Amino acid sequence: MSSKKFFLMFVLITVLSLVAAQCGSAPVPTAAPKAEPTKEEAKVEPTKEEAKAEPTKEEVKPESEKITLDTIVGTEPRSFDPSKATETTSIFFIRQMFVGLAAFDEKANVIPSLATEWKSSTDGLKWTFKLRNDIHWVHRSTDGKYEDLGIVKAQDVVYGVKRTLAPDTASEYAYVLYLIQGAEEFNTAGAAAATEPVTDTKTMTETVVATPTVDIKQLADNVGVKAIDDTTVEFTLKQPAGYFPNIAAMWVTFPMPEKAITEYGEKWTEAGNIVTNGPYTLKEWQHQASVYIEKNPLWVDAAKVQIEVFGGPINQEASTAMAMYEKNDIDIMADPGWPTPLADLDRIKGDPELSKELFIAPRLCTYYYGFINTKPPFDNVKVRKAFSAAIDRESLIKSVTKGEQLPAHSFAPPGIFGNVADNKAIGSYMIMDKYADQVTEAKKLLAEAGYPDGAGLNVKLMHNTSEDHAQIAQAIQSMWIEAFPKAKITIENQEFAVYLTTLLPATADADKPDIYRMGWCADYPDSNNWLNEVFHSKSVQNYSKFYNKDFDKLLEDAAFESDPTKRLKLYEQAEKVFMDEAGIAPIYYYTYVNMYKPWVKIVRSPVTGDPVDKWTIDWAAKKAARGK
Amino acid sequence: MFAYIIRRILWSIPVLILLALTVFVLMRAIPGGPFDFMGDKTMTPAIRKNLEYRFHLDWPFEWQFTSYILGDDVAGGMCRAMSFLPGCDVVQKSAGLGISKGLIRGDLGMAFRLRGRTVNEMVMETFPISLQLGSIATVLALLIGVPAGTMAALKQNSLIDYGASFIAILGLSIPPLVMGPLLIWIFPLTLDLFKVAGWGAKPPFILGVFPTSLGQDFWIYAILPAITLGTGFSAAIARLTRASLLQVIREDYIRTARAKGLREQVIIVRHALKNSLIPVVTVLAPLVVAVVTGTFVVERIFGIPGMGRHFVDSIGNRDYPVITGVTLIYATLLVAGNLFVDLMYGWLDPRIRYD
Repeated sequence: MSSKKFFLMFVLITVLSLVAAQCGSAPVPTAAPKAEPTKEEAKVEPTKEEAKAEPTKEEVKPESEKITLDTIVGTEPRSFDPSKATETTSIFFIRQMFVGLAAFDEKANVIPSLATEWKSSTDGLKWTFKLRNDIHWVHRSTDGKYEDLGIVKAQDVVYGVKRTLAPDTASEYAYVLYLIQGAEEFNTAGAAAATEPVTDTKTMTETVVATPTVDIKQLADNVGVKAIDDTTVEFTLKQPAGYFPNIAAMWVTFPMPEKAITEYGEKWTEAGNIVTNGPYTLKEWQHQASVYIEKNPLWVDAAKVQIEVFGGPINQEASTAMAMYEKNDIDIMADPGWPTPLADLDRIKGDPELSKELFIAPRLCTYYYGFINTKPPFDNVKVRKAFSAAIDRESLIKSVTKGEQLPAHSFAPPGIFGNVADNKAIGSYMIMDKYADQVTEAKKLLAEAGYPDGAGLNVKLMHNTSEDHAQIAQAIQSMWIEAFPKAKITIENQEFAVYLTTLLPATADADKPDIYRMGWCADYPDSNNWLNEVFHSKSVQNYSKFYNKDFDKLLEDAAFESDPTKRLKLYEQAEKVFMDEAGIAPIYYYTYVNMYKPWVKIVRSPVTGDPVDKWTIDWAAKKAARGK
Repeated sequence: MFAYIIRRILWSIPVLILLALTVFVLMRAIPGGPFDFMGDKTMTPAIRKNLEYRFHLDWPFEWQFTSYILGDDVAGGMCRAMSFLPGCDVVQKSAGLGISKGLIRGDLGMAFRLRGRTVNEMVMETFPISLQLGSIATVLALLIGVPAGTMAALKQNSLIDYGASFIAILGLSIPPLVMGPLLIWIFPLTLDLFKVAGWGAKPPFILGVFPTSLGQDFWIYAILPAITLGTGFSAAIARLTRASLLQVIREDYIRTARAKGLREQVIIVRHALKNSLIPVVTVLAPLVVAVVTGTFVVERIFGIPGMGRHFVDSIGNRDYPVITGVTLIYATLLVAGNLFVDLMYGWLDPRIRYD
């Protein structure tokens, strides 16, 4: 064998495998008349069903002419099942495809959606929602045909709520429904039965305990949600809750299509199976590769919806997404894709064209440093206050985070019901006009606490492993060292799940850092989801172990109160106590740092899931830009 | 030889089960369970309990493993028959929820994070794409690496040798993390050639792995990642081929061949190169397996929906079935690759026998 033949062998193998692949392709149906391959067409791949189906007479609009907004999808959506979604990407798409009783407007206020109005009984325990009767369930077959499956009824809402709560559904967000009567009992029935200890390990006696027969059906019937008639749903709560309309706007209370769920089981959310009731429906979901939704032509306001197709490939790398954006492959750098990468921000701000496409808006999240309130020296409020005051939030935002975030001086950010972001008197020690004054104050507090210039302090700051968190931690560390030159401040990081385990209230204080990094984003825009769900002394999220009797009482009162004015007042007091005690050091309120091509016109919502049905696109301009 | 192959295959079964057990133990030993957190929030205890119940994580460890290997219906059956076994009370309560039919029936279980998805589905969707990319990169690496190494060895200490070695070192030392974005910047962004990200082939694949079309639409996506992946790979092959060939051409049997008066071409290709490929093939097998099962960085940079992400993401998510599943796939291929290499030895070097 000559050396030439040797190389030929490799070439041959390659060619053969290519030929094999080509030959094999014959029996697989290819797209009907293959016209110029355009970007839009590349996305559409015929499926088996399409090949089998009889050729449809009524011709569907060619894909390339459908008004399409291209994005990338930041990660494989976890589930399009409203009972099971937990993360931004899934929730974003669910809000396009389903409507619930209530929704959120551009200012994060609760507004009517499927329900036109609601009212609570005088004791605040019974909530009645009146439903509109012109929202329909629709099914889109894989060949693009739509079928009307009837009006969305009160019974569908009841089914949805109970399905979220059913133990077998194993919904993560089921806990937000625990305020409904009988909900917790129903949800925990399976696990409760399963975790009963049976064998006494000490005496090694085998006690045969009969399986506690839990009547699941009875528990389901006991849940306080019922359909009075086709258009009226009534919820019975365990306790009064002024924030209940927020819960009615969450995806876990959405109506769900019982028939499709029963028919397809876990697979009901696949394209072709899914039945939806919103402005869009699922067109294509190539798992781990791409997601596309399509305008629902049977939607009540379909005439007002311009964008016909929305979606794109799944891409987990923000910098690659940015390259695609600059190449006009995608139209937005925003949910459900990636925000603008931090590394590109300076360049974008300096670019006359790109800077115009940059869009920064408040986001319902707060970045904070927590103190372990029970671990000396941070059991001393003066030490906590000193460390909080010595953070120069303005310059951190300017030189590290760069996204025009707002310096935080309370927990709940603007947009959350009960936030005090405008009341500069609360937490004033962290937002003085001059940072130098904050440092003076911090030094004074620390000296009073017995640590002049930080002498004798050995502080461990911990964050979960991430380049962004590391940069912020280093910046703040240097601020602290400058303010308290004699203190020893070290930074550690841990992988996220390990980190959360370290911070759990059950972990011994000795194994914990003194200061930890954390963030909180709204599940629903009400302070109950903030102060109460995070820092109430009984909350599992309360890593700081902050405890103040008055604070807990204020939060409980606010949760039970139905009068909005009184609730606002209570949350204001709670924030004041929290900041006076310096339970945590809030750092900044997040912003969305997004980019939109000039031909895209958007309506934003600070709550996850912008209303894409209200967006518009200058189709001619987009085609022109892509054609060049 | 046939007996040898059978023996090797039978031996691999306990190896794979032991591996599954190791991954099982190791993953559960890391602090933080799959349902301890939700996004960046701590899971409500009642909800965590319910999820652990749903996915059998409340079962004693040995029962979880039994169920993983044999299936939860079998575990449930064992418990019905022998209810005195420790832990059976818990097993019997949720054995009917149907999480896994067991490894022996080819079921890798149900993913924790992606709801309602099985690990089998996730592998079937992503593995073919990683395999396509990895195969192209391998072919590319061989086409460049072997000739480059051979030439460098034959013209030792010449300009060709130094040039090839320099390029090889360069190829080895530029990581994909740098090479990928660099290629994206040069080709799609500056020259408007090829695609930034994505993959040109979509399921259904022919025979489960081959793309249905290998036209331009395929290559505009595949070229850049294949180059990124293949460069370092080909550099490794070139260096190995060169070193090995240099050693072989000094062997006695090469001198004998020369003494017989054989043509130089025959000596090099039939006697020297073939024999010198033994170390190359030895190293190649695990490298190829690593490349075709998905490379996290390259797939991520080029937005390729391959299997590489599961090796990394599933650890962060504590998605036990996924990490165990992809590790088993990797291990199976590795075992197969090593067997193939061992069989190749006999062909490459007639002195090797299988007894």
